[in-house]
Parts: sequence; structure tokens; C-alpha cells
Amino acid sequence: MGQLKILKAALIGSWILGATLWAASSSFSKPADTDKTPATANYNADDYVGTETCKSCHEDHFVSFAKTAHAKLEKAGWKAERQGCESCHGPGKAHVEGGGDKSKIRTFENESPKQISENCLECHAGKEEHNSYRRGEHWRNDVGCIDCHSPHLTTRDKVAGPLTPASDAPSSLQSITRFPSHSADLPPQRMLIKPQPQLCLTCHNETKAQFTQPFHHKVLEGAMNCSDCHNPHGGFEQKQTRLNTGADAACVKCHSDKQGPFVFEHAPLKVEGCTACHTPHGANNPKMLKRNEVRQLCLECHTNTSTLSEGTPGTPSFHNLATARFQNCTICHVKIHGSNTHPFFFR
Amino acid sequence: MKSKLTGFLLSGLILILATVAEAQDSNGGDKAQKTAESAQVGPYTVNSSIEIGVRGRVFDGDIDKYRSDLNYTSGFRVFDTSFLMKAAGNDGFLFDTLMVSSFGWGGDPNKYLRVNAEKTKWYRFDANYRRLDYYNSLTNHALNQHISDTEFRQGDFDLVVLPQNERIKFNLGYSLNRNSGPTFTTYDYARDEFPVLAPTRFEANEYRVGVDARVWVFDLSFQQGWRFFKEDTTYSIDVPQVGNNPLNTSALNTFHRELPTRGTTPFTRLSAHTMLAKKVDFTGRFIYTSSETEYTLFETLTGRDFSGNNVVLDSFIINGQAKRPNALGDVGVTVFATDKLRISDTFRINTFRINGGQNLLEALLRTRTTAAGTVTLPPVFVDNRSFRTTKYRQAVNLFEVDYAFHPRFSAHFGHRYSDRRIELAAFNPTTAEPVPGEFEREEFDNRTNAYIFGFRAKPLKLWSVYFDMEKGEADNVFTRVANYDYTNFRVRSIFRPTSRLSINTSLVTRDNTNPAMTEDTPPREFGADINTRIFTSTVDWTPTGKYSFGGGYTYTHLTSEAAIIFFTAGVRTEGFSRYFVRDHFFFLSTYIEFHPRAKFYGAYRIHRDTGQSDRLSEPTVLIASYPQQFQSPEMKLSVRLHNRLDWIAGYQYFDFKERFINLQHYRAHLPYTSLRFYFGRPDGQ
Repeated sequence: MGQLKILKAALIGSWILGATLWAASSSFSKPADTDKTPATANYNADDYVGTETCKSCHEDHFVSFAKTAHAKLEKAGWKAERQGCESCHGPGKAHVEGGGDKSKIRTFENESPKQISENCLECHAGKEEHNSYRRGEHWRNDVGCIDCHSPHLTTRDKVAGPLTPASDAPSSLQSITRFPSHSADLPPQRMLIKPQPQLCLTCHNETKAQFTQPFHHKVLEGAMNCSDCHNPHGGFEQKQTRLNTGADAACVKCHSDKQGPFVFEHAPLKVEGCTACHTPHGANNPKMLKRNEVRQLCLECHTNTSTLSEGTPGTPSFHNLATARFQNCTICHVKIHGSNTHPFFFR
Repeated sequence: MKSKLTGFLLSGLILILATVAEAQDSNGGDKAQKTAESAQVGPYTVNSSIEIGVRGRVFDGDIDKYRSDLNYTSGFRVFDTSFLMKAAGNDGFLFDTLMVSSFGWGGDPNKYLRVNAEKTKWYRFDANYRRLDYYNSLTNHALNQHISDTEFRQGDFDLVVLPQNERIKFNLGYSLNRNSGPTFTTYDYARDEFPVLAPTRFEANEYRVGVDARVWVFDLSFQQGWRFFKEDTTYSIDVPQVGNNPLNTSALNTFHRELPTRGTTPFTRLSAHTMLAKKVDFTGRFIYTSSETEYTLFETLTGRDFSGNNVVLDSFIINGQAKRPNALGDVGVTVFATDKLRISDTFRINTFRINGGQNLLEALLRTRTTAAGTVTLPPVFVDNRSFRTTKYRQAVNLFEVDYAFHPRFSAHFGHRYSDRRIELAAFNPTTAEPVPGEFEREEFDNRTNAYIFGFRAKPLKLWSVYFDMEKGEADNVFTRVANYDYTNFRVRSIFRPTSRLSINTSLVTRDNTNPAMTEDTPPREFGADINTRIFTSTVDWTPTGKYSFGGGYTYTHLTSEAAIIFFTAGVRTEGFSRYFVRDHFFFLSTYIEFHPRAKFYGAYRIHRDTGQSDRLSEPTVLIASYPQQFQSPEMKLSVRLHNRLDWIAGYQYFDFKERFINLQHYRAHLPYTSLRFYFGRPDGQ
């Protein structure tokens, strides 16, 4: 009861602090939407000149833009100011009348990734996938939408130099570098500036070593993507992992036989999660286990005591750890993730 | 030998074909600068290609380890296909865009097929289908008695109706997951383990319907799904087995088990999001699932038990059910107090309950053979029930503040609080163990606090530094009774002196300490310490579009020490478990376009884990690691013979050496050659 009170107090305190700061700040700070950028300010319909007008000077951009999903919005019946170049860059009338005056249109130059991303979210906020973007690690670290996506579908690679047209580079079985593994002819999906996983590895370079271990998920081979397990746009889960089948871990999407529920369930399965025993990106140990010897992995939990109240069950005295049989715990405890028919996971 | 010869002949044939194609290209070398015209089919522009060829394999060493790691074989392959059909004016009849790509069909261990189709305004369809070979036969896992040679088949099919509609979108989805193939496992019977043939066969089918809608100021999403799981793996022994334990006289003459299992998981997911006055970002999500498993086991066996009795028939019928209702709610509110200050609070409540119960019926008929003859022993009939319940409730609150002191410097701090309660209950009404009719019920309560701090700095326009630190406690009830104390650091530097050169360095450290104490009197420290250091540095240089170089080094340092209790010949031993990883990973790669028609890719990667070095286990200290070396050079040449034809030749070598224990070494040379035919080549390629 006392703990619940502490929790409530902490919650209420947090909210009061937040509300106070918000109220106080609004009196001395300008609102976030007062950035006088053309796309965010209010304009008349007459201020829009249409994409065809932009094309007359920016044909190269128009050609690549025409291939993108953004170019389809006219066909989808979107209003003039909500599609085409001016949906992001703002109305172009003043820019055209000024002879191409850059100061009279939104060029996004010198804008922060957060500001640019806000522009994208004007239209892309409606999907659950993007709901937590403003709380995500990428947002916090100034990794904006256009650091990964190319709204014009150009081969510009802001992250690490220009991207060589995909199929120019012979692909690899396990592509560790900037070139995609396979299917190099087609543009990356979702208007990404590079296909996965190359895009993610550009910053998350430590995972290259993990994905090249003898046992690994087939990400570098192109059979899986980082976004199969992680939501790059943020989320409520730690490491921005996805949930599967409602509230279960992403792992059981493919490893469905481990989903359960089991009558006798190995407690870490649902409570601690798969990473209690496995290294998800890759390992040199079989089954991507955290330890090479199974006994070691098991004993590090099943050691202290032998009853429920004192933790996990310990090993019984007849387990002679000097013999290979007992060193390989899963020889007997075969259904280690959970069993429906045996409390010690024998079948 | 045959495969080598076939590979050689095919390589020659492909080379001849390629030469003929080259001769037919009457426009000369300057044509290589141009692009092939895309095929035009009605309103559609078609670009497609197919790469077919042959892979050889020269191998020596441990084939099982090789197959467990890589599993590339020799033979014909459809290495790669791509197909893009696009209506320039988005005025196609059934679709405006159809994109199909595939890889690895024809025998490679990893195969996939992706399909994307879209009719602007009306629908978007995404399909992703994979087939992954899964082979596992290793001497350093389960005494090489758990062997799998199965195949995973996985697919996701998603249809969005009205994808560009700003008010409402409808989502339909289907996912399949299948695994089947021969498997060997073991069965513990009468204190002995017997190899069992268990052809795996399970599948899951998931159906989803949902809607995304904009209602007033809210973005609302609703999804209802159903997952159906089915497992029909059978277990059998066809020839008499004496088991692994040489000290045990038990044997199985026949063994057969069927365990058909069915599971259902309906799930409902609701989420809402809004941004109020560009000041308050609100996100809420609620998920409810109610998983259920039902099964019936039929098992019969004959043989001999560890007392030397003849088991005429030991039969089991077990049926039962398990349920797991799970409710998960998340609420996140972010207040953009100023254009520099963000305050965020995220609250989660997660509750689930696992209720499982089974009814076991056993009939055991035995005889005993003595010098006087065979005696029938009294039959044994068992009828018992077992019930288990796990109740779980966790509340987590995360409070964070971000402040941008300067466009080039921002910092954040936060606090995470969690409160978790777990109740375990076991009820065995008729069983003899642990106590007939005993009802066991235990509760765990734990609370954790963690503090988060970090900053992002841009000392130079081309240099970014990211720093994150988290210190606190983590839930760890089941592993060491008490919470883990942990301290995590991560610093990442991305330096781009030019737009064509990137130097990325990162250091990750994780220190986990568990301060558990024994139940002894007086209690003594009984903790576990795990320290991890991962240092990575990579360089990526693309001086021109014709050249690219990359390289990097990663050092992973992991030391784990845990106090453990184990038994050696019945003697209780208090000792330590120590585990070491000292892995050095280095890679180098290059891409060179040394002629407009010829491109080269070369790479080299090596892992070298020195593991525990010269440390050796002692009677009370279990030391383990997996010192090994895994290297793989690779090169590939692509020559454009014609605007519609590339010739590709490549070679990859895998060399695995482990330092001790099982000596599962292998070396595999994988040459391959292929032709890539283009039917309409995309611009610029």
C-alpha cells in the first residue's frame, strides 16, 4: 500500500512539475510554431504556383521527385497546397516573382533535423508506427527523417557520402559495407537513402561484428531487416523493439513454438525475455547463447537456493557436474522454454 | 568431384555465352556509358533483371559445423531477380507500381521473395516471404544429440486500403510461420537419456484487420488479430537404445509419443496520438491478448527401467490447458515547453497471468526376470493433476527532460521507476512430490530506480558526439533474488571531415553487479558481476563514385563472474563461474570501378576471440570461453558485356578454427559465376 502511495506521489509530482514548467515557459518563450518558415505559416491559395512551375527551373529535382510516393498525392486527390513541392517548401509565388530568391521559400538550409522532421510529421503522424517519434532515441539525438529517407528520391547520402548507384557494386553474401546485399536494381523501399541494413550500420557500426559471428540472424545476408525487430521511429519498448501478436516479444513472431503459454513455463520466457539467455544479433556460441557451456548459463541462475520463496530452483545433489551428461543441462531439460507436460521440462 | 566438374563446365559455358553476347554488342565500348531503354508495356515502364549462375564448393573440415554456420552448397542458383513495373502517370489499371525481388532460390540457405504493389489512392500491398534452412549439429552443444535439419517458412502479407486517405485507412494482414524437417532430440527416462527422432512440424497463422483514422485532433489506430498455432511433432525410437548413461541399466526398446498442441492468441490493440497546439504530444496505447494452449499427449514405451525390471508397457495420457491473459497499457506525454525544453513522461502498466493445469494418467506394466523365471509385478496406475499460476504486474514510469543549450549542444536527463509484483503458485493435488496436496504460493516484490543522463554535442559542424549514461537497478528477481545494479555508458563520435569521408567511433560499457547474499548463517556475498566493453571504429571513404574504401575494428571484452553452487559426485561445492570473451573483429572492403564496364568488390573480415587465454578451470571455478578464429575474404568482379548482360564472377572463402574443446575446424572455398540479364535497365545503372 505504501509503495503504491509512493508511486502515485511520484506520478503526480512529475505531472505537476511538467505542467508548471509548461505554464511558466509559455509566458516568456515564443511558441514552437512561430518559426517563420513558409511551410508552417498561413498563406492563401493564391500563393501556390504548382509543381509544374517549379519544374521549369528545378527539372532535375522534378524528375526524381516524380518517381516518389510523394508525387502520387495529386492523383490521390490531395489539395494543391498539400502535395507537390510546395507541400514542404511552402508557397512559391514570392520565390518565383523574386526571380528565384531563396529567402522567399523554405529551403530547409540551417534548419535542425527536429524542425525538418516536424514538417514531415504534418502528414506522416497518422500511423501508429510514428506515434512515439518525438520520444524516440533518434529524435533526441537529432537524427531526423531526411537522415534516413530521401523525399526527392535522390542518391544523396547525407550520412556518409554519396551512394553509388546500387547495382554498380557487385553484391556480397554478407555485405558488411555500404553496398546492399542483393536485389540491387530496385530503389530502396520507403524512400530510404540506402537499403537496410546498410543504412542502420552507418551509425550502429558495432553491430557489424555481431552480425558476422558464426551464429547470427541473417541480416547482412538480406533475409531480415533491422526494422523487423526494431521500430526506428521510436516506441514504448526499450531499444525500440517491436511487439508481436499483441504484447509478446518480437522474437516469437518467427519462433512461434516458444510463444506459449505453457503449463510449466520457464519464468524468464515471458518475464525476463529471450535476451536473458540469448544474444539476439549474433554470437559465436551455438543457439546464440550468452555462454558457450550450457551448464554455466543455467548455473548462474539455478544456484542459490532450492525453493520458490528463495529464488530459482537450485540443482539437486545427484547432478554430478563432473560428468558431461550433467554439464549439458538441455540433454534432459529439452523443453527449456516451457513444457506442457513436465514440470522440469523433460518432454 | 562431380559438382566441381559441373561447376567448371558451367563456368566455361557461361563465359562463352557472355563472349557471344559481347560480340553481338555492335555499338562498341562507348555504349557502356548509356543506359538500356526500359521496356514499355502499355502505360508501364518495365525494368527487370535476373542473375543466374552456378556456385561451387571446395570443402574440408567439419561439415556439420560448416552447415550449422553457413550451409552454402554447390549447384545452379537463381542468385537474384528484380522486376519493377511502373506507370509513369500513375494511371495503371490494376496497379501503378509492381515491384518484385527475390534472392537465393535454387538451393541457397537463405531465400526471400518480396512483392510490393500499389494502386494510388486505392491500395498498397506488401509481401515478404522467406525460406531459411536451419541446420544444427554441433559437438559443443547437447553432446551433439540435438540435431536439426529443418526449414523455416515465414511470410508477411499486408494490404492497406485507401493508403493516401487522410481520414481513414484500412489494414488487412496475414503472417505465416512454419517449421518442419527431421530433428533428433533426447528423452530423459529412468535417469538416462535416449536419442529420439522427432520430426519437427509446427506452424502459426496470423490474421489481422485494422483501421487508422483521423478523428477530430486524434490519430486513432485499431487492430484486431488472431494467431493460430499448431504443433504436430512426433517422437519415436525405432531401434532399441541403451541410453547415454553407462552406469544405468535402463533401456528403451520402443518409444512413441504424439503431442498435438493447439494454440490461439486473439489480440486487440488500440492507440491514440495527438499533438495539441504544437505543445503537447500525447500517445496512448492499450493491448489486450488472451493466449491459450490446449494439448493431449499419448506416449507408450517398452524397455527396462533402472532397477532392471522389464517394462512391458508404460503408457501416458496427459491433457491440459494453459491460458495467459495479458493487458498492457502505455501513456506518453511530451510537453514542448519552449523551443529548447522538452519534458516527457511515459507510464506503463503491464499485467498478465499464466494459468496452467494438466491431468496425467499413467499405466505401468512390468515384469522381473530372475533365475527362478519371470514374475509379473503389480501394475502401477497414476492419476494426478498439476496446476501452476504466475501472476505478474509491473508499473514503470519514465520521466525525461531534454534541453537544447545551443543548436550544437543539448542534454537530457531522466528517471525510471518500476514497481513489480510476481506471484507464483503451484498445486499438486495427488502427486507424490513435493508433498501430496501441497499448495505452494510465493510472492516477489521489487522496485527499481534508474537515472539517465546524456548529451549530444557538435563541436564542429562535421563532428557529432553522442553520450548516454544510465545508472540504476534492473528487475532481476528470477536470476539472483535481488535487483541488478547496472551502469551503462555509450559514447559515439561521428566525424565527417568531408562529405565523402566518415569516421565513426563508439565505446559501449556495461557493468552489471548483483549484490545477492546467501541464505546461510551468517550470509555471505553471492553475487554476479558482468562487465562488457565494446569499442568500435570504422572508416568509410568514397573519394569518387568509382572508388570506395571501408574498414573497421571492433573489440568486444566481456568478463562474467558468478558465484555458484553445484554438486560433484554428491558433494556440495561452492565456487565461481567465469566466462570470457576477447573478440577482435576487423574488416576491410573496397569497391573499384576500374573501367566503365568493369567493377570490382573485395572484402576481408576476421573474428579472433582469444577467450579465457591461459586460464584453466579448477575444481571450484568453472572457466569457459570459446576461443576461435573466423575469417572470410571475398572478391567479386562484374563486367558489363552488353547493356542487357553482365557477367559476374566471385569467390568467398570461409575459414573457421576453434582453439580447443571440440576442434570443429572447416575451410570452404565458394567460387561462383553468373550472368545477369536485364530487361530494361534502370536509369543510371
